[in-house]
Amino acid sequence: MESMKQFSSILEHINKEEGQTFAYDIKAIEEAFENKNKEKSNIAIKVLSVFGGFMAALAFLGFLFVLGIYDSASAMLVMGILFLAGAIALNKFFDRIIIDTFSISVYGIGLALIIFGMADMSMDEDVITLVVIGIAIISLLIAQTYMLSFLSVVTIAVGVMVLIFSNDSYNLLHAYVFVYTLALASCFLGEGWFLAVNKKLAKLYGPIRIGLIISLLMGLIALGKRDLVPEAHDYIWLSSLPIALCILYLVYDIIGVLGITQTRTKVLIYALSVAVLFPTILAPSIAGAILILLLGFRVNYKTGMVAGIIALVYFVSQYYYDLNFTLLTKSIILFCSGVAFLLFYLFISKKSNP
Amino acid sequence: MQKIGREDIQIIAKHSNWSNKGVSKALEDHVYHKAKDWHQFLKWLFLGLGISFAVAGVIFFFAYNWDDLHKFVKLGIIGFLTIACVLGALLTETKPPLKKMLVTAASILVGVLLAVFGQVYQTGANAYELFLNWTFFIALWVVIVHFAPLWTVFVTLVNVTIVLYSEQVAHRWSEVFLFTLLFWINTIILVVFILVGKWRESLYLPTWFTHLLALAAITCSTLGNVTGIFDAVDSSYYLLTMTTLLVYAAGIWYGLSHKSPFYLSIIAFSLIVISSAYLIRLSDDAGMFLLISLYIITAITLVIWALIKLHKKWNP
Repeated sequence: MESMKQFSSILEHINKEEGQTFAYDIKAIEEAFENKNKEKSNIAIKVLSVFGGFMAALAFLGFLFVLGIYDSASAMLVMGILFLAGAIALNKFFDRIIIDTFSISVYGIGLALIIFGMADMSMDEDVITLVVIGIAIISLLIAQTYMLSFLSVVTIAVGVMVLIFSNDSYNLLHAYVFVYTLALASCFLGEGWFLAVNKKLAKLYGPIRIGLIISLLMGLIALGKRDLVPEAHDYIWLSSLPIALCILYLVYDIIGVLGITQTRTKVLIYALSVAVLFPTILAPSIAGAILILLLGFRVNYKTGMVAGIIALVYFVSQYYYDLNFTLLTKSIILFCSGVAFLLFYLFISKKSNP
Repeated sequence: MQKIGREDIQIIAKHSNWSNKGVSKALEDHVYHKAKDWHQFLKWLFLGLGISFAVAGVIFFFAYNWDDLHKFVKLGIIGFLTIACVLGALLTETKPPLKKMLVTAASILVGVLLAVFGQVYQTGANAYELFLNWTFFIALWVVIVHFAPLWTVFVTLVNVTIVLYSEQVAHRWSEVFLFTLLFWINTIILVVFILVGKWRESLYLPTWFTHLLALAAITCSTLGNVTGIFDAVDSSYYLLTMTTLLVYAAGIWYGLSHKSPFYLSIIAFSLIVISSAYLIRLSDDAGMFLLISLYIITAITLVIWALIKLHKKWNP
């Protein structure tokens, strides 16, 4: 948007639609608009801060270890807590892009020191993981800045994964995928609700969205690479079910966007969707990648779309690589699916150019 | 209502009691994709999936190496499919992107044809020769069709050929020399594409392709420089350092004059990695690790600060 003037005309318009009850804080909006122009982040800056933060944290941990801090568990714990508190406080009081690199590395160093400290005191692995998850939740609630919230969401997911693996409860991976699929779908499709209902949630929306994508992808990778967790493959359809249902719901939603009213076309679209989803019942990771791609396109979120495309290419290749068929059978399956997709293409081309 | 973006909606929603329904409607009307976009997206998605699955099916079929199939039949099938793709692109009345995709499929089938030929006649050649021939045979199509995905295939083939050649034939090449060579080649290709895009607007390729090339080039130079810092120094290392400085200077100039934060940030990041490696090479005691940690934070923060300032200058 060009200027504040346009902003006021938009506010007037909303006022008309919302009626008497609409109230807004014009000063805060003006200020936020000014700030938005003053400090505009983009994907290059975010990637730079994450990589830089991690590299600096590694170097600093190297420094502490050369000094010999690993001799003292309590020193590691105390320093870890101080670093974490520092990172959270820093984010609480200065919400500026410029300090992102610094706070990411301080946060990372703090977490690492606390983990090493507790491990040094021979605490139980599960307890350590639960503490880490707890720290991540607390920082998510307090810090409320983009980078720290993003890291916290991913840390929570990594913690849950560690719990599943260290207790050999591999079938819980299906529960993991179930929860994260639903969370991701509601996060994408309920954007309006997130933004309107709660100010805190609205602020965390961006980092939660990208954090959830990465969290779901972690679960899908664990299931998608066959020899990674062979124990989870007996009930693999348990993970496919929620993903398939979400995709079908999305298809219903998209039919609405496309404005299709003919029952025959609708039935045909559902039948085609089921036909595409049916073979993925034993490959939830492929269906999951399709879900991420469709959700990303639905809400016009480029990073999500790119993540979906890369995941789709990877999971499809991994699936056929792992498949215990002869190359001939694989070739027939691939070729037939290819022809089926080309038929879909012709179907859509015909529909869109009558 | 005027056109508003996602961020504007977020700002207003944050500082007002805008209802859930109102926010959702604004997102649907101003941010989300419309029916027309969905048609385009689904069309390209299915076309891309269809062609890649079908070609993958063909590749797997010949990887199976079916003994009962006579060699002429094998070669004949691939030859026929290749010709069918090219004729389909030449003679049918389809849209240009579809034609370009057909030629891309044909270019990949040429590789399958060469592989099966090697398999049937046991030519016993080094694998690099297959890739070299493949690169040569499709070169003309690549230039004429001028399609970013096909160029991606071509540039990948060039890189793979060089890496295989260094592994199978040129045993004397040092790792640093290999990285130097790949850095030069990818940089030259990148510069050519940028110049060609300037010369004729119709020849302009999408930014994802030039960015991919730049990433490939900068990864090679970074890896080469870091390897050179830790390994015994050979003469190619000096060449690499000098060209790296030259190319990076040009890249920064290009990034500044074309308002592209992408080039500025990857070059800055590469320089920070290389200089940190150099610092570790100097000493690996505690003080140095502390210094590196502070150096990385300061350097990255300064880069981000500069990027934000530039963004403000470019978008007043």
